[in-house]
Amino acid sequence: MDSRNLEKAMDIISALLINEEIHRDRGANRGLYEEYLSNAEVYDMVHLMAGKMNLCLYEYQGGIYVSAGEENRVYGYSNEELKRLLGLRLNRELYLCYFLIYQVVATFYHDSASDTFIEYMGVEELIHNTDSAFAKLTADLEILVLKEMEENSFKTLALLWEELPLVTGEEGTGIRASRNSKRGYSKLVFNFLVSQELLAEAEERYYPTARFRALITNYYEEHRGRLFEILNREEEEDDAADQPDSGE
Amino acid sequence: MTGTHMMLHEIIEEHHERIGHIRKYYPYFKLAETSFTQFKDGKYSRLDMGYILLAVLRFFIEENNFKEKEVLYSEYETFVTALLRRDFECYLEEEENKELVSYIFDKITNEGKPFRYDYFDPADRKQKTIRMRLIKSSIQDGAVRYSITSEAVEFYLDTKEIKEESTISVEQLLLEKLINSQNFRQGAEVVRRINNEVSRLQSRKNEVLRILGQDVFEGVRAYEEFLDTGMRWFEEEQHLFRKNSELIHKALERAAQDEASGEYTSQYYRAMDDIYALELELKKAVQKHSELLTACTQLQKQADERILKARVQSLRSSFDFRQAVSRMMERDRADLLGELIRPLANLKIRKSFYLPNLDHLLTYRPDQQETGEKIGEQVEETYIYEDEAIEQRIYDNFEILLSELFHWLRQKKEFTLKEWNGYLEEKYTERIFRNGDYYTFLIHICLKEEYRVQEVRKNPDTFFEEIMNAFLDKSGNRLYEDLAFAVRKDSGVSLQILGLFEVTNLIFERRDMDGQP
Repeated sequence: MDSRNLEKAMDIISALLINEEIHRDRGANRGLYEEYLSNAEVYDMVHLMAGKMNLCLYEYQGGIYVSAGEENRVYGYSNEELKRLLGLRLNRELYLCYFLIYQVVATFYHDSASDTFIEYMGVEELIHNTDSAFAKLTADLEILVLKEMEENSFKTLALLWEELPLVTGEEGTGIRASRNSKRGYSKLVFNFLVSQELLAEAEERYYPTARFRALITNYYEEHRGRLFEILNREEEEDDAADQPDSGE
Repeated sequence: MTGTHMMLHEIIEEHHERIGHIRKYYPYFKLAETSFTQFKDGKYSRLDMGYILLAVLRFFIEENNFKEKEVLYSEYETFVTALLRRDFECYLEEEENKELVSYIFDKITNEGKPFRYDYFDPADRKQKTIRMRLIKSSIQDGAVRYSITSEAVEFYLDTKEIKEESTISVEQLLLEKLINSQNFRQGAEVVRRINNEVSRLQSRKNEVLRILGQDVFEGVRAYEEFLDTGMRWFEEEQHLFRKNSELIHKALERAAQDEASGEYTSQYYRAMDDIYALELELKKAVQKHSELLTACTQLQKQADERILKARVQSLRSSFDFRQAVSRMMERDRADLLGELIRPLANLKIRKSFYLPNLDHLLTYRPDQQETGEKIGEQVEETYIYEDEAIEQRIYDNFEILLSELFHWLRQKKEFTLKEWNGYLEEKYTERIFRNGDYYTFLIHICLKEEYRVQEVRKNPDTFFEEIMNAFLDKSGNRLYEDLAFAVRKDSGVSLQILGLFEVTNLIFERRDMDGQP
């Protein structure tokens, strides 16, 4: 093994670990990208190291992007940590934020195989899309009371969302991230996505970044089987639990 | 007959192509028609969106194609504000102006979505959709920048400059004439226009690639159209470039001769600077043109790859975001969203102690602090179903009745149900007789005529005995371990309870350990 190659591979990994951009056309790490692409040994080492650290690497339009994937205790966030990062207190608030983020993803992408036709989205569009997504659930919400439901139920989220005012009196013309209104929540989520380099903001319009595109088209594609399994496996378990005891 | 056939062919087969040409006008009319009537109750309906649109497009062409830079939102804002003031005398408060300019931007970009135009394609007998954008965006160094699309440039040029064949060729022919007439300065202008057209084709090439990525069928059409209108002229253009380069070369040679012969009055010598400028521009154009040529041959390869990829992808399933969320909703498991969202976050690299926490320690006020709710391990909740609740109630009630019965059996050798009922009524009031479990208890106890606790402990064989066993386990004392009793029906004597129920009287008799009276 060439120690120079090892050094280059380490440079690439450490740049990725501190969330630095490695891109063919821009930034200080152009040389690293060249090395990654043209030197097979470096390429293999980078992938080996990333694999051992349970990281997923993706190439997209001249850039290398990384995701901690699921259940990465060192580099991935837990629910608790994300809750702190978002400034939330309750689980249902976190799940609502997850749902809003999911709406952003689903607005830009129908599935992981195709590219997006939509260039940007704003707070109002997110609110509208979330309203429509909850519409089916909110129809029979009148008879439900928040404390009767579990915190991880979509009905809880729908009720929480439904009870929020569109905007609070204090907000004035600008939108501030908060837990007091639908606009506040949307802004909170957008701010988070911008901080995670998934969206870029210009005049309250939010554009998907290359990192966002790279993760959507690769991560979900690659982990499709596992994700389906999670949904289906637990579904079978639930079904089994619902079966009456045969008494054997 | 042939005439009719040709006419029909033209109507049906060429319809798609015609629509393709019309589509670039579609956003203009869509925007011009309704834009301002819906905004702020038509307060600004005197503004002409058509005019504003054309002005904005021209501004983008100036910035993108002439100055070769992309536009920031603030630059667009300055331009439109100036336009509104100059042409419509629209002087507004800063906030309102911002809102109006932003509204115009949203309209021109169609709120980030492409303009969609549905039409019927008679050749395929299908409803089809064409999409078009005027402004596109890109992110550089974290800032969003805007540029005009090649379709919008084409639309803008179509409104005045009619384009029937390669603009580059036409411009080159013009250049040839200008060089021949020794108008070098004008020639440089023409070359700049050629450069512009080359840039437009370059950007169109990128768009074709993008469309191929999104919709392979639409992409293949765009690619073929690009081959037809752009690439087929390449050979001719290269030839003209060579010819013009030669002409300039000759002009330079003549200028050099003039200089050598000291003929300072010659037109060639006087235009020396212009010729150099023209040569420089032309070299740039030739360079850009060959770059485009290389890029276009690459495009052929990339297009093939994309088509192949699309073929492969159409066979395998992808991750459908909407389907996944509806599945989660069906199962009502919002926590699963975390599985899909958490991997999107950046790597968690803050490992050290978070310093602002020091402040929190110093200013900690327990009562004012909101306590965070913990997400524990994902342990499944224990549900109590209705039948389980009922079962529990039966157990509880049977335990009470058993405890009373055993208590009596220890005290009395023999007693009747009537006597026992009297005791129960005294202790628990007559409400006990309204409890269904009391009657169930009687039915269960009558299933066997004799009970021996020792045997029940070893081998409980009825539901009632199981409950009895559980009761003895729970009570923990061994008082009743030797108990045995018989239950006999006192035939002919029935008891009226509350005037509602009728039960046969029973006789309970304590036995010894072996079951003997």
